Amino acid sequence: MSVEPEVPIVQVEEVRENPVLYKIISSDNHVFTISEHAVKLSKTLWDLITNLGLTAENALDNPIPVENVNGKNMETIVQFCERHKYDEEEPEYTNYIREFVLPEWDRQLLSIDNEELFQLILATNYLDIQKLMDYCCRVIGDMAKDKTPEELRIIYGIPTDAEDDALERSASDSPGPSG
Amino acid sequence: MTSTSSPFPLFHLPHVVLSEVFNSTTPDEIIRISFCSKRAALIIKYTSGKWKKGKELELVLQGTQPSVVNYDEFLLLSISHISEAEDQRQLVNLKIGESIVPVDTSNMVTYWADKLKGVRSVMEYVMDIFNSEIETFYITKNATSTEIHYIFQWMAKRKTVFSVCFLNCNNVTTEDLNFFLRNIQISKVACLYGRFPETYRYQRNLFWTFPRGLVNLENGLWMRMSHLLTMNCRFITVMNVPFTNKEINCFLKKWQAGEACPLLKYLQFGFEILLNLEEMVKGLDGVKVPDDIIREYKTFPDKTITLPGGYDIKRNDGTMAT
Repeated sequence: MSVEPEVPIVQVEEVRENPVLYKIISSDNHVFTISEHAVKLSKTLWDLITNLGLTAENALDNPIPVENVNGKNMETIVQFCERHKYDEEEPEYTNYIREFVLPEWDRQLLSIDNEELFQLILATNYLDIQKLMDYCCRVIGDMAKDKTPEELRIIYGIPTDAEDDALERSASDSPGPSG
Repeated sequence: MTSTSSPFPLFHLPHVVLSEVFNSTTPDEIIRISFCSKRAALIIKYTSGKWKKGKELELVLQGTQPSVVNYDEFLLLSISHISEAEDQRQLVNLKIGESIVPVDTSNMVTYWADKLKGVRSVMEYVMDIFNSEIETFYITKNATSTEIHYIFQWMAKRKTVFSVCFLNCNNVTTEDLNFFLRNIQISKVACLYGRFPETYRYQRNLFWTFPRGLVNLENGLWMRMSHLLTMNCRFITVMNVPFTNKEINCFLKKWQAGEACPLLKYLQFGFEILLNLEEMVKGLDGVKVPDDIIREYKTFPDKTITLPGGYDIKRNDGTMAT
């Protein structure tokens, strides 16, 4: 289980209140430490830790490899989880989604390129971090605010009907796996 | 915010994530996205989301003004006659149902040569996208007789129970009103206001038996005691009822015995004649409350009514009414 880190450990935030730390290795072999309270925000990671029987004594000796998430996204995720580890449960938002204002710290964290945001939300989905999922979705949803269908097509990279038809034609013209 | 250097590939997201993104948008934005392409509309249609669980679609039918389809407070699409378009060069052609329609995409006003066809097409488009019926109808004083006739026929063809209907009767014909009362079921709130057709005469109908929430009629001359006895509604307000003291007394006795309007919380009748309280409460074994005793009753979570004095009567299950 133990994997030797190939790059220096990224210490995202000093953890004073809770001494239990875990190590996570990203797909590109970056190693992160994360506190127990923070890692609990990820259902996937916490289930893994529980199933592996990691404890305060052996956690740091048994880094958890996460092959679906690269170092850049993992750094954002660890920062997010450490930031929000003591948050109280937020009330479920009503239909009036715009009433919820994304905190400035999180808005800054998620001010990233659309491609990075796409990868981050995939990682968030894989690691099952509901709060970060809500925040990412909020950022993506906000892109639609006050936009026309023509603008939305560009913002969300939605092909026109003609482009969809062309794609479909080229897909049906291309030879299959055996062809 | 995020860089605009590259598009965000929304429809490359896994289905479950896409559903969460849709939950973070508003219903009007969902409709705008649906117009991006046929595939976009299909994906939205087959992606679950909280907007599809709500039953908040409503039509506001207005003759001289644009009619509107809303999702709760969100305006989804307006329907105007093409002659209302100020500058058609600014409009974008979008497909709604089988029609290609000029649309002002800055405010989502759709322009139609046949406005009634527009109302139907827009309603059916929105219902298809949200996979939900339009359950609330505001038929305003501006709605024409033709529009009202059309919408009643359309509602009846849906073969469903609607939730809420506010109907201004100023321009409704006798025939259409009878059709409405006989063929359209409203489960929660039914408000009929404005002038009834002068030639309107009561015909047998089941209108009274359906609403469970609120019935509000500005003109109740056509109401019969037999209607009231078939009702089971929480809030009833009817003006100009033709009931006599004896009929009211009879109704109250049936209520006391648990044989009339068991859900009733609030009943208000307006009379054209002055009634006699003694005759109305005769034999009810109630208690007269002095006028200097003022009591508040909560009708809705945010609304109370104040009653000075009154006359308390008790139902056989202990429920008190004043």
